[in-house]
Amino acid sequence: MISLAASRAQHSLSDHGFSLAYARTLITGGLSLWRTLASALGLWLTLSGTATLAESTVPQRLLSADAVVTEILLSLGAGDRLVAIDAASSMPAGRDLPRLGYHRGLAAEGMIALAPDLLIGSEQMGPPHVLDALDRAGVEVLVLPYPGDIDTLRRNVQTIADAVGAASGDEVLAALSQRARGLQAHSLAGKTAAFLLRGEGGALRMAGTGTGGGGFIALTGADNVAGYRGYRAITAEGLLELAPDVLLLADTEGRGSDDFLERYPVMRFSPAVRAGQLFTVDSNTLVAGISIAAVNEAYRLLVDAHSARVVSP
Amino acid sequence: MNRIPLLPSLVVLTLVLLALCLTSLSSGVMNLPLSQALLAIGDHLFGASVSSLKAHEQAVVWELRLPRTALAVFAGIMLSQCGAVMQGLFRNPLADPGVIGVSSGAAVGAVLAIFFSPQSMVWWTVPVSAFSGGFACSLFIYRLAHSNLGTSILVLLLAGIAVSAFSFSIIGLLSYLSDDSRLRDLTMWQLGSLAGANATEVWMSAVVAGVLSLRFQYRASALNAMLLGEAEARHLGIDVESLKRELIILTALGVGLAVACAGVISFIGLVVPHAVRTLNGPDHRSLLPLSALLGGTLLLCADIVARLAVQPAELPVGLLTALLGAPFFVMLLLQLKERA
Repeated sequence: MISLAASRAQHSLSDHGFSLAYARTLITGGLSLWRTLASALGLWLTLSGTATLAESTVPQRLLSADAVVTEILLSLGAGDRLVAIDAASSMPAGRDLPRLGYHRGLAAEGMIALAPDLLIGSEQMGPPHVLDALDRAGVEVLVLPYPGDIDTLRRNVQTIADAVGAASGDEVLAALSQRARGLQAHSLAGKTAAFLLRGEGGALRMAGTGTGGGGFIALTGADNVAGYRGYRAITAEGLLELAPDVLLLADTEGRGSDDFLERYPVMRFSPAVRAGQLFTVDSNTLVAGISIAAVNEAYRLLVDAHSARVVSP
Repeated sequence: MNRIPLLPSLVVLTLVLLALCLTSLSSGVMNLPLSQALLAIGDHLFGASVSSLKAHEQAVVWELRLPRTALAVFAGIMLSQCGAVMQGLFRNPLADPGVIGVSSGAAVGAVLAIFFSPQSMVWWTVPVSAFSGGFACSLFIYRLAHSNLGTSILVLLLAGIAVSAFSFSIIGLLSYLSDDSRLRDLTMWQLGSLAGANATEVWMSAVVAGVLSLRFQYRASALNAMLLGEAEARHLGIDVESLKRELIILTALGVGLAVACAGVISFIGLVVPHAVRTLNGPDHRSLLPLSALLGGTLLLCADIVARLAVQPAELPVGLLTALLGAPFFVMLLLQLKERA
């Protein structure tokens, strides 16, 4: 827009001619390429589709549009029935599946073409017209509440186990309950905590309520020092002023907390760092709310926090 | 000057567009034979049951591919013609349909809807709010530039820049305040998509594209005169004021609707008219229909690639218009350089 005003150029381009042949070659070449691509995929689909015809009413071909749903399906032992997963889902090393893209921007035809029996996702899954199209094409759609806490996570495990007919639902739930008791035993109740995201150049954002980070703090039993919804930017000075007892750093690639103290040396004065209560949290476990892995991560953290308190004065 | 004459260009482009429409109906993640896809459409139109496609395959053709094909063609027609008209009216080759503030106004409208309406209502609040925002914004800019002495093109241009800058700061502010999911919605909207096309959008854009094409064609000679300069056009007996008013309102209508239905689709409105000028010359009487055809063709091309590139997911079409269109345009420029 700015360059518009600056431009005084004339329609000089229009005074020249050009052969249409180039355009035609480009377009027909492109056309045949797409056709080849489309037919190759169609053949693959037909082959893979006929091989796995459903034998009973139990859904055999599952689509997961949510990272936590994928995790739950894997832990229920239904991973081999998964046909495709969303962009945020992760599979065990060595296994991968076709990706449905971002869970809020799903494509109807791509999913219908996989001939699924059941699509499972959270209430954030969409857009709505895509879910409608799937419904009309006879694909069952299961929409689960966003797992912001461990109780919702438990209910989702139960719902999914029922929907896919998995027998191991009770075992997974029992393991979760055991972890929940562990969280209670080592709870950080009465302490305050801050959950920080480190952005480009080290800029910090602090998690409020309604976020994965906020949900994680709730798992530990601590009070969130952020009194707002969503993520907001915060400076080191602001953190010193809030003085949380525990500092949690989101970490996606295991880089640890050293670079945080290098970037913000002033944080060495904060009560959390002085008491050895600065921890990193694997935030891959929080991409779609509280996951089973996030509960385990919270338990690990509480054990670490406890031993750090015992060691340091 | 070896320009390609109008008639062969029209015929070739129409055939290419038709072929692409057929490709679009038969290609996608599912491999459905073209004849069966066409039969399925016939079945729906005439209540017959000739096609051997299964119910869900018919739904894919009738409910997903047909609307997005039609919307791609009509949106392409609207955007490219509006671009040609704005470049003519402003006598500025860098003018795109957004020059009168309609794109930035629509973006603010969409962002406000994404930010303030509940997630369950976003599917209809965004298009409505985008259209109102775009239309209101261009009317405001037109009023700013309009005085007793007429409408100043320079003020129009500068007001457009001011309003765009203001709009982008509002978008920036709201993105700053948005949570992650809304932020993602916002980004996706700004990349454009035809996947959500529905019957209402298709019919509305069909009607508007038709009206636009007829009115623009009727004004083509006046636009040719405007290329000489505003004073010269006035001396040739053209009512410049009513011309400006009509073209601005029609462009706001066309671009506003295209943006409301498909999000922001860049490049088509800016470059398609230039491509046509290099092929066929600057005469608006041929420039406008050829731009319409090429615009529809390019957008449909982009949409087909968007469907097939990362299946079973989809790419945003607004990314692809520039990705496909820019190399094509650079090729045209290189060709020009060789001849010079």
